Amino acid sequence: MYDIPELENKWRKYKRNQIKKPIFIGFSIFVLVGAVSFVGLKYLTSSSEKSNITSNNTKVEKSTPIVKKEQSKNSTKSPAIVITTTPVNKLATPKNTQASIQPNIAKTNNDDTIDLSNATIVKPNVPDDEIRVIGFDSQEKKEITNKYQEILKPQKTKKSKIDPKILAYEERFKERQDPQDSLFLAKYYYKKGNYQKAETWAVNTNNIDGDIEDSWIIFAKARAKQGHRVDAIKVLQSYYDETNSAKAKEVLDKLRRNIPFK
Amino acid sequence: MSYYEIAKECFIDEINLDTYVELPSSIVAYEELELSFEKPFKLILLYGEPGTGKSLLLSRIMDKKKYQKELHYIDSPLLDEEEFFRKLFNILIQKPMPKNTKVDFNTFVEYCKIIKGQREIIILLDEAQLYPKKILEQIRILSDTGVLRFVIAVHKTTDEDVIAKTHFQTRIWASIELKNATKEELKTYIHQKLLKFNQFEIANQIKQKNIDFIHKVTDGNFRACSKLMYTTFEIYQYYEKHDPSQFSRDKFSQKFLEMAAIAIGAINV
Repeated sequence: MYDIPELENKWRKYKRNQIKKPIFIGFSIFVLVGAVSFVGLKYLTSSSEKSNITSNNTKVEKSTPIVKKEQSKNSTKSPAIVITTTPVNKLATPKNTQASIQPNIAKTNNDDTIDLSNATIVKPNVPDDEIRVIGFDSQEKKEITNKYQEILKPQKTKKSKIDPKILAYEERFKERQDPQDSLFLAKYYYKKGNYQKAETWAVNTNNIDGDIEDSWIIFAKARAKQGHRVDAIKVLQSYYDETNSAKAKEVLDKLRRNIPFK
Repeated sequence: MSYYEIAKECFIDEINLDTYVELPSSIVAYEELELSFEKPFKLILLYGEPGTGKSLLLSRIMDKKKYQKELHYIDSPLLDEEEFFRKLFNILIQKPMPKNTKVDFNTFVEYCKIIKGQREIIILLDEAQLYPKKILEQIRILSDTGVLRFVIAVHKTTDEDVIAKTHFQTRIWASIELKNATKEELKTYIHQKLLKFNQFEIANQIKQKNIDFIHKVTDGNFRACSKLMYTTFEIYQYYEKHDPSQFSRDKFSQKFLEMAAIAIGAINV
């Protein structure tokens, strides 16, 4: 006959192990998924930052993006941001490497330029699906786009869920180019957590009217939410320098201290 | 005697044809063996892992055919030549070999040639993997006479290849493999065993969940299953005597089953 009390102790140990096993497996899967997601996001972030790398004759490059402030004494307009890229590699498509915020107001003044070497280029007035990987030759872009298709094109699936009213606003903006419409859309997408779209619509607003405070703030906040806090600070600082906007200062302080904001 | 003591007795590891449970796979093996008996075979190889029912199958065919065929069942291996010759003498001459007598192997071969056409003797040889190679070689020569025919039961190991290929390669008429039970077969096996002892209540309490566990830990091996069930009811008996509050009489205890699996080493803790 077996030693039953001893056997019962062993059985308790066995049951404990049985419970531990699925927990351990579940935890391992969770960690693995987390790690894969982190690496994927890192890769995406780095690929978008690559688009801002300074020119080099043998590689795909572009000029350092700069923020230029209007210095003309006669001008009363608010500061303009010009982000210009010059593709050296012939394979790079110029269309995909140029973006601007109020390019018509910009003037070159080396003393007042702000280096935005870490900024990611934003393209206004380009269909959403095309704002993906900038600065790669077409083959490389294709490969990366294919590799991260699921991550790169979430908007496509979201598109079908967009409120018809919002679509109507978008259509109306195309027709009228009313900055209030684009600002509304920027705020709407920001509230919904679609920071990429919010940024795009803020840029669209700025392209039409560079004096709208909310548009600058939404742009900076959307950039920061996408992990480009330094960009956001630089852009908002340039706006604050010109306007002394209290609201911009408030957001700027939060960005500098890395305090969470809505 | 308590219910659990009777239930325990159902699973004693012994060859008992009264409690034999017919399963689809064992029926197929039996019929194949029975059919081969009608053919002019020299050797039949019966193989499978320990506990798959080889000995039971040999016992059963012996029981069923003993009045139609001249059958001899050697259940334990004969490990030396002298013992083997004594047994062989007894089978062929149908008398015990006199004391202080020695028989040369060639004498057996010559005797077989004399009785050829008059007698057909089938010897069922269990645990053949334990026989020395020399005896296996003598079995091969005897099978060539056409008078002595052998059914050789071996464990499915690498030795099985040695027996099959080295000694009997061209003489094996049929190879019958006995496999472990499927879940369904195991369920039938357990239920039938209990029902043969009128343990209806306990049989009904054993559910599919319990069967799945038993199959998982025993891999469908009949001997391992019997051992597990025997130990489970042994644990039942202990608690029935010392702490009856530990179990319900209306439900089969998965806990006791798991404890039994730990006790017999089917689960490592």
